[in-house]
Amino acid sequence: MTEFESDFLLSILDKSQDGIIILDGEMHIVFWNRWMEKTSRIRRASVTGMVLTEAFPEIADTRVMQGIDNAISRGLPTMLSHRLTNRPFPLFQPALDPEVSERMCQAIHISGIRQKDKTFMCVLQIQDITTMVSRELLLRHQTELLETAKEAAFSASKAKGDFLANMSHEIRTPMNAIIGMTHLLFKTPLDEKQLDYLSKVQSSANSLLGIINDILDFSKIEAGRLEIENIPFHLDEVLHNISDLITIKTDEKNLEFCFSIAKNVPLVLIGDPLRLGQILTNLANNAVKFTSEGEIIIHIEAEEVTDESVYLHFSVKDTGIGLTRQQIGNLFQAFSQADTSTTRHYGGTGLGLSISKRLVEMMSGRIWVESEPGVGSSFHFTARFARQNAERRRFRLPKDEYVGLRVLLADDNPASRDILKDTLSSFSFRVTPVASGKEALAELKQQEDNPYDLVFVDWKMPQMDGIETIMAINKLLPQSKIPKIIMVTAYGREEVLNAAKGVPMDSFLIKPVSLSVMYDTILSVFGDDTTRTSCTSALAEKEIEGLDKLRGARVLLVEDNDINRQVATELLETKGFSVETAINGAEAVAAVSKNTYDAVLMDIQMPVMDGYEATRAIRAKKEFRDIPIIAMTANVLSGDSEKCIAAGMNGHIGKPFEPAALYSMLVRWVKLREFLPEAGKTPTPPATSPKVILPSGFKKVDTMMGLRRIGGNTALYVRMLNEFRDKYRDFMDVLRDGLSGGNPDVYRMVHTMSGVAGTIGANDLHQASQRLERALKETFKDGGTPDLEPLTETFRFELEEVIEDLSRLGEAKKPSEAAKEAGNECAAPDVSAIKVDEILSARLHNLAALLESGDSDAAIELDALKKMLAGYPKIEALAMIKQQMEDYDYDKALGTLAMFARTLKIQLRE
Amino acid sequence: MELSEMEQDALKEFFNMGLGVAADSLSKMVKKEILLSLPQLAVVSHREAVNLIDHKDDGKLVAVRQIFLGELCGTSLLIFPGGKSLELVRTLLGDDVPLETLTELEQDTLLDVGNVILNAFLGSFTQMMTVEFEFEAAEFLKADCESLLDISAHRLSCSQDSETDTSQAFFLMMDFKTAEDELKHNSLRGYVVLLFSKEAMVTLKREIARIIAGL
Repeated sequence: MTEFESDFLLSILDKSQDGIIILDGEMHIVFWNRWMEKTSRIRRASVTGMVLTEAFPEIADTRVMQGIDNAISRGLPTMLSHRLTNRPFPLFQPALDPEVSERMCQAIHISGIRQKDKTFMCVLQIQDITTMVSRELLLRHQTELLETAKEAAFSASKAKGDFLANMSHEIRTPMNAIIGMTHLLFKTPLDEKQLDYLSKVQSSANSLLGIINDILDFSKIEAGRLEIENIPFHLDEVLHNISDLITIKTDEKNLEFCFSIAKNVPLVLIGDPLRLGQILTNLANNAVKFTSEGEIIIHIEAEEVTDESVYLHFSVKDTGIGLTRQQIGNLFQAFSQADTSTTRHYGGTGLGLSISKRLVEMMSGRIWVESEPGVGSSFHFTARFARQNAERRRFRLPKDEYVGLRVLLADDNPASRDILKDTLSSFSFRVTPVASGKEALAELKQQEDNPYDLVFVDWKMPQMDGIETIMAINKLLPQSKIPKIIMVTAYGREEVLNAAKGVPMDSFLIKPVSLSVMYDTILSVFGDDTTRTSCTSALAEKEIEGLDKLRGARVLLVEDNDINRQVATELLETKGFSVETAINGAEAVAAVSKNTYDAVLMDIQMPVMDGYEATRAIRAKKEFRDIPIIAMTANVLSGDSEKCIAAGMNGHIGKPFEPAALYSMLVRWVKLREFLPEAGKTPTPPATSPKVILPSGFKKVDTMMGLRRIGGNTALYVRMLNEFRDKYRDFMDVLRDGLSGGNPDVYRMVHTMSGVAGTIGANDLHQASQRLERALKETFKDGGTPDLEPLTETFRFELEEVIEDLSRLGEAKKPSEAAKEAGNECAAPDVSAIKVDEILSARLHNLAALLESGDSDAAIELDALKKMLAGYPKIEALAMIKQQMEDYDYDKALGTLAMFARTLKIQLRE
Repeated sequence: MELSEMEQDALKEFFNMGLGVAADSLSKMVKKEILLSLPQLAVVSHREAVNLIDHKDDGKLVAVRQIFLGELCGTSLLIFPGGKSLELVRTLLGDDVPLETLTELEQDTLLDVGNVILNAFLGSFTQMMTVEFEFEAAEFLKADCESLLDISAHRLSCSQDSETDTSQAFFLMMDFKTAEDELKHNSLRGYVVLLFSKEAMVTLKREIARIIAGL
């Protein structure tokens, strides 16, 4: 290298932005660049030739020296990082005042350069990384802040979850009281107004509970504590429950609501029916909320069916306001709704969809939406279920005689028509769909020689509605050729009953029609089933199988809240349980060791001793190992039930509990034995027995409504009807006497009768008496002089009609006796001495009347009679009557019946 | 190409010496006792090496590379295990810093450590050889396992190999332990890999033979 070249290279090194030191094999400084001069404040001239440690004594024994040694002895490179060798050289950042300038952070690279003589020179490169270090310090600091903020957010969120769980417990306790008390109140006599208020209290309480449940579910999802059950269920039942909830709303808005279930869908499944129902209800509720006209269709089809499992595709389609693409984007997020203005307009917590999404995912499915603004939305989801028994058929197929039944279907709504057609076809019927009443009539006329067996008519159709159509069919065809007629409607039961009074139809169905209800209705129309009876009692209160066997069982109820204690006590006593109470765990333990109980119902959170502890104390004694203990708790977080089980309890019901849930639990756990009803403690009104047949065919008494009003207790209802008839048969005379004598008591009498008429379902009479009552009030209290004559006349007419209806119940006996027999009639009758009583007599008269008018209800009545007379030797006569009825020979059947009645010493009226 | 047992033993000896030096330097650096051990040494193909390295998460691995040039040319790699970070790294960097998201300074720190370990190995490895080496500075790499162990990926810096040459590797598994790890019986595995071309392996074998003969 020439001198020029080496000078040139050295001046390049002087321009370097890093510090450069070159050492020879003995660590003498050979070169020291300008950067080094500036940062060390030592001139090159003063250090050249010095050993490095002389220039910087503080680096002796540091990793720098080790690195230099590695380079010089073996040529190995070394990199020294800031963290592991912090600021090794005393170098400073450029500053005007050296006193304040800072020692710089350095990164150092040391490398060896081989000389011709095979020894190594050493080059040190020093980088100023002060800025980088402070930048990273800042970064680290900010990260820490973020971390802290995140932790704070997490713990806030956890606190929120805990708060929600606690609050929902606090809220559920009074909710239990509200819902339970409402339930009990429904069983007391109520007038129309009170009934209306009460049903509004009930529906508000239920919707409030729904919101609380949503919030709780959501907090469970956030805490990852939501769980899915796997129990056998029937898909149709899930749909049935949804229909009960949703129809109320679709009625109000005049919307069609239909179920469409593809043929390939198995109905008997294993999964979580409650959660599935929750998703469907949520989607259907949304659909109703955002739809002002048109229809809502729940469609189900199977995407994949194996013997073990099925993958179902559900969709809920509406014709509502629809959603834009942006709105769809954040739809499934918690607390979000389509947009804020929608929130204000339509209300809701905005939790439903995010909960549904989570639930669907837990059922191995997904949820999505297809929508077009202004046209409607379709919410879809899929879910996998195990199958109970692949062999089992979806439905009992109808008997051979019904296969290929000819059905005419008239419905103006194309979607609803298609669905009904598919459903009917799936029962193996031959279905002809038409779009109006006129078309239906034309079709019936044309096919007169090849008549239809069954006609389905939609009620609300333009031009000619269902009722008009039915009337016209009656005119069009001769009486003997009129097919069975079923009216289908999206409107409420009471509306239909009112509107269809006197319309000759065989039955009606409320949309959405679940498969099993439709199936049963069709069979009942053809007199092949006694389903109408069971329908009626289903209206009232769901029967729990085996509950009546527990009458007299002793139950210890442990509950500290006195309202809840009252609710539970009455619910239990209603069903004939003998109830004793304890107000805390300690009392419970004492009670259990003193008396024998068939079950203990245990609240969890109680003063003195809680439910867990009490249970453990009871279980600690050998003799109480087996007594069933059922927890009643408002803690519904999953994990609580495990806690209950761990404490030794058998089961667990959440508050507020459904009476049915409470009863089922008891049925499940109480061991059957001879229960002795305690002396002086007769069970309050006996449980509804489905075997007590409700009288049918009344013109002026809505028995379904009346029955529901008194809690579905048929025996009680029959008793009430009898009492009403006996008490008010001669009421007109009393009324007229009172009026002519100017006796103000008549006002009170009419008022009382008005309430009773409302309760038993005599609606027209109820209204007439209310009008009369108002006029009487004006006359006697306010000194007015209204014209009483027309009101009295209407009242008389309605009263007579009702009394006439009720006279079909047969001659009265002492009402209490009648009720007793009504309650006991399921007991096997003494073969030698069938009790000939008023009910039996009423039955026979009723059947005779039905046969006389050729009413198909006769079949139901006949079946009921058969059950009543089980064991009676001459019962074959009834089978003969049945045969005669099936041959449509009603006259002959009537004759046979009269003969049969004589064997019972009953003379049938002509 | 296979190495005889004798040859393998000799190599292991060199590496163990290096290991002692490395552990010593590391212990001084972090002011904590660091124990290094070498449970496995093997000569393997590229594919075998890829299989040996635990890279379940399929992400990129973090490695320190030092290339050596001269008559015997190759690449040395210290590969940090994927997933869990080493106690050593935790000691060095503070908290549980994920290796995939190191800042520049943190990379430097890792580079520093890698440099010390590789120097110790390379030092003892080259000490006995008669051939001359040039070493390049340590570099910090993030790459997937496959390309990390492919010599052609390092070729630009190692120009003497012919293009078609396939790589072979010395594969060393190394256990890192701190004194606390030793108490808790947990250790984390790192990998030191020396990548050679076939041609370089021939030279290497010759060198080892010479050393064994001289012993």
